[in-house]
Amino acid sequence: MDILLFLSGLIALGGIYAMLAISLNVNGGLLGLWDLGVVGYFAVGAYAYTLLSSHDLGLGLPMIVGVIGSAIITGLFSLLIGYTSLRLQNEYLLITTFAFAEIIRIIAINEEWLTNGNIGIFGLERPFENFLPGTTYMIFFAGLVLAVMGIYYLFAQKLAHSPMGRYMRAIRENEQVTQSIGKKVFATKLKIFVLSSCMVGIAGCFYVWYMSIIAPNMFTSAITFTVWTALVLGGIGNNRGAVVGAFVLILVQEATRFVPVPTEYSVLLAGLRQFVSGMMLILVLRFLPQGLVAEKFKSVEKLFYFQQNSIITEQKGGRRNAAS
Amino acid sequence: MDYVVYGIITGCILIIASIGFSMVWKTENFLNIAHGQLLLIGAYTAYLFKVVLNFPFALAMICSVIATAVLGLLLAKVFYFPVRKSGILVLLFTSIGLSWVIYGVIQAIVGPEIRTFGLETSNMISLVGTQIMSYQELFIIVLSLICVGLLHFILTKTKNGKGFRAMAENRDLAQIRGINSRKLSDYVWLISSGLAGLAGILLAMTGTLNMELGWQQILIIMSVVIVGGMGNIYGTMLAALIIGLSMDLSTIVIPTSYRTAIAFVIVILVLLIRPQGLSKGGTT
Repeated sequence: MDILLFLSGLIALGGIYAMLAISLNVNGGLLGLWDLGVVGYFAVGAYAYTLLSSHDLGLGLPMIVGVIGSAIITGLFSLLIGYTSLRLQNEYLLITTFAFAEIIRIIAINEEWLTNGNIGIFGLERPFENFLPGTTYMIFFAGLVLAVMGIYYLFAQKLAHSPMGRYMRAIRENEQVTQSIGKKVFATKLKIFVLSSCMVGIAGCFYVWYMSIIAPNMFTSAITFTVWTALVLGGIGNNRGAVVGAFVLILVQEATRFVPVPTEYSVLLAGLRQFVSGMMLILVLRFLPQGLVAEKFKSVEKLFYFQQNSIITEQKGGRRNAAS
Repeated sequence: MDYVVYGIITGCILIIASIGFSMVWKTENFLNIAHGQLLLIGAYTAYLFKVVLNFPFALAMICSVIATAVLGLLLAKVFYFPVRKSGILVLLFTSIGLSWVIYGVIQAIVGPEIRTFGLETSNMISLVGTQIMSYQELFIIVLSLICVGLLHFILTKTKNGKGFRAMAENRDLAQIRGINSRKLSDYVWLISSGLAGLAGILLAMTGTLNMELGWQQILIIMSVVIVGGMGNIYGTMLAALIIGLSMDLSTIVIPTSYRTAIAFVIVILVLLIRPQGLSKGGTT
């Protein structure tokens, strides 16, 4: 029973990270935005849900209203962030989104009237908890997470294969060219950015249910890096890769928690976990730069280069024939 | 008045911390996230020399700066140089992975408790009857001035420094003109890692040694470099002072816990109003 409980907890956490990785893949992978603010929208979604639905500190609204509300509030927040920062390129976008995420966390720490500060809010309710007793609940919850993750996956897959998906890749590969054929680059970026943030916000609700508490130190930039690492491990631009990467990473990070060790080694083990995740990222980048599951769509530039090269070799061959 | 002194000290440490980051960005064209963890390495090797091996503090500092510089170069050679051809995104993520590796190794060795160097509190310097700052704080300011002066001298007067500036402007052209870019980038990594180590020690001197030092500082360092404008070294110095001063002066008006948020607000504002930073590109 213990193992089953641990395993379902692992699947639930892996599923939540997979949801995050899929959402990030939509704007980071397909659209090519260097967005390091994932944890910011995650925190906004989680806090919005808690404040809407919690009975003690919040408004005590029904759960489903909380979830929808958190998606809307996260969307509005990301509209503000995206509108101000999406005109910036690569590194500048990266730092701006990073800065916004940090500001959100610092606000969550300091505004105690709203978020109860560093202490956080405890004992939050979970969906359908009354119908299912104790241990079976975690198994049900893992199933719920997997189901929602499946919806995320299908949605992202649908999006990737739609005209919108091609359009997004076009922006990623060459923004100027896309603009020159009369496409609205900024508006598309903003749309997708808000969409992806809403998805992250809903994932935030699941994180709150999983932890059953909420506190600012759950939302450090380590989460952003973990999600990006998962995406890079699995393969940027590929939804299947995002899911695979998230589960592999969570398995590596969390599996060691089950090994019973004396407390004096627990710090050593925590350090080792970080070491292994980092090493995995470095090695995958060195030897499999496309990730574990490579993106199926060949990038347009590569196709173009391929053709160019083949023309050049033909010409060379032709000349040699003529000379001989 | 106290706040101004604190602000200048924060600024001085930020200068030392961010110049190296800016130099690496200029020559290698990527954001070296692991730079923050080099601060951590510097601080903890100094702790090793000072507290564990009982060296005098000055000697411990020199040893740890040299150790960090060499280690930084080695890490760059092992982890960054082989993937240089794969583009900046791969380099960026390699540096994130490397940050985790360094963080994990140090955490496994030192554990979670918070330490200090155990320095005696030094006397205050008084001027016209009012106490201005302690000798320790004066030492930090003087040291950073020396670093800045030395760097300025190297960049403008020596052959390698001029070569670095040429390489930062246009790597290929510099190579054509016979500048050995491989040797120069080794020097850049050495200097940048050494400065990062020094900044780590100074930070630990003013506060405590904790594991989160690297992650906290890299965010502020990135803000400083962006505000300073595209790896411009003199812009970076100015931006470090501005951000350091405004972080500490802001505590008069708003709660202290919002101190770091000020740096981020400044970077967002600067990017929105003047996307090229305080001063335009170029290293001079």
